[in-house]
Amino acid sequence: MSGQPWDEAQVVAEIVRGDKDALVRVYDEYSSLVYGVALRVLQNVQAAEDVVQEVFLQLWRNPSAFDARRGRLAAWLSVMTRHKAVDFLRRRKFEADLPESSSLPEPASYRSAPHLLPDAEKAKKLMNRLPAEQRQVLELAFLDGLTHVEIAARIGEALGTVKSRIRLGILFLRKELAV
Amino acid sequence: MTAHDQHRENLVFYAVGALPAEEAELLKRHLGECRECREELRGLSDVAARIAMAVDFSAPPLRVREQLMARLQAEPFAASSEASKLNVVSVPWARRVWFWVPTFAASVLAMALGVLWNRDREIEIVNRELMAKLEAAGLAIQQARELTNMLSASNAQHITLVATGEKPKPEAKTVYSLQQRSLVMLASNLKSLPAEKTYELWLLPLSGARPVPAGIFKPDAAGSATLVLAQFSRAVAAKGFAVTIEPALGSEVPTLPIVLSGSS
Repeated sequence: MSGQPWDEAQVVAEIVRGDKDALVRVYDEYSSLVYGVALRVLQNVQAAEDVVQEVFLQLWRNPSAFDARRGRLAAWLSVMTRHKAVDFLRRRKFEADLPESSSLPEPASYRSAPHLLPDAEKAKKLMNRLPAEQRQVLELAFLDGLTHVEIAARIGEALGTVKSRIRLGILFLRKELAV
Repeated sequence: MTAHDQHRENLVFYAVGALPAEEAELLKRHLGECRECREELRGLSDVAARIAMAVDFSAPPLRVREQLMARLQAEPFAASSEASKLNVVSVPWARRVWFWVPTFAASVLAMALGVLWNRDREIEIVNRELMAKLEAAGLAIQQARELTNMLSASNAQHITLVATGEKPKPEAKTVYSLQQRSLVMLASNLKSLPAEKTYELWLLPLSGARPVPAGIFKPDAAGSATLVLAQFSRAVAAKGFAVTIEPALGSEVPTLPIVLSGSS
C-alpha cells in the first residue's frame, strides 16, 4: 500500500495509458475481494486462481469498459468475477477436481483491502438484515449460478415465490443503498 | 403488459443472474435498443454486486500475482487499447518497467531503452501510422457493430427464397473465419422448442476431433435465429458445422439426432 489517497478514476486512467504499475496497484487493492468471490462461487482453489488472473487481465486489456462515472470499481470487479466464475462453473471444466471444503483458505482480514472496508462491511450488514429466505435465493442466483427455475426446484418452492423473494431482496438492498 | 414492461420486469432477475438463457437472450436484444432499461440495469447490477461484496475476502496466494505479472509481460505494451500502445514508448513507462521484470531481464531492458532512444524519429512515424490505422480500425469496428446490431435485431426480417411452389425447409448458413476467430450463423424456418431445450451450434474440426460447442440459440416466432461470435474462443479449423437440440444451458457433447449439418 502506498498510503496515498485512492482515486479509482485516476488509477484506471493510468491503466488505459498502459501503466502496468497501476494494474498491480489495483490487483493489490482488490485481489482479496476478487479471489473471495471466485472461491465462494467455484469452491475450488485452482479454478478461483485462474478466474482472478482472467479478471485482472480483462481489466488490463479493456479498462475503458469500466466507467468511473457510473459506479465503483469494487462493484464492477465483483460482477465481472461472478460472471466469469459462473461461466467456469457451467462449463464444468474442473468437475473432477473439486477439493474438500477444508482445503479452502481461511478468509483474509480486511487489512489487505482498506479502501474496501466500508463498502464490504455495509454489504455484509445489509445481507444479514435481509430475511433469510430472500438472502437464500439471492445467493443461490448470484453466487451459485442458478436460474430462478433451478432455485425453485432446489428449494421446493413455487417459481412465483422465488421471483417474489428475489425482487423483494433486491428492492430492499436498493432502498438501503439509495442507488 | 407491453413487451417493454415484460423486459423491464425481468431486469432484476437478469441482474442477479437468475434469468434462464433463452429469456436472457431476448432481454439482451431489448437492452441493445432501450436506453431506459440499460440505465435501470446499471443500477440493479450495482445493487447485485453487494451480494458478492458481502462474501469473506481471501488473499490469493503470492503465485497468482507472480503468474499475472508474467502474463502481463507477455503482453508488451499491452493491450489495454490501441491508444495505449501509442503511449508505451514514453520514458515514464520505461522507468517503471523495473518493477515488473525479474532482475535477470535488466540488461535486456537497458538494450531496449537504448534502441528506443535512438529511434525517436522512427517512433514518431510509427505513431502517426498507428494513429491512422487506429482511425481506420475505429471506422471498421463501427461498421461491424452496426452490421451485428442489424443481424441481431429482433425486428430484422429474415426471408428465405425458395423455388416457387416449394415449402421453406429448416436451414442455416454459417460464415466462419479462423484467422479472425469470428463466426456468424443465420438460421431460418426452425421449429420452436420447449423452454427446457435449446438449439446448439457445433464446429466440426477439420482434424476429426470431437465437435466444439459454438453457441446456443433459440429461434424467434418466425423460426429465425442469428448467432454472431466476434471473438470465438477456440482457434480450430473447421470441416463443417452442425446443429443439435440440447438442454437449456447447452451441452459439452452433442446429443443426437443432428438437426442440421453441412461441410465445406
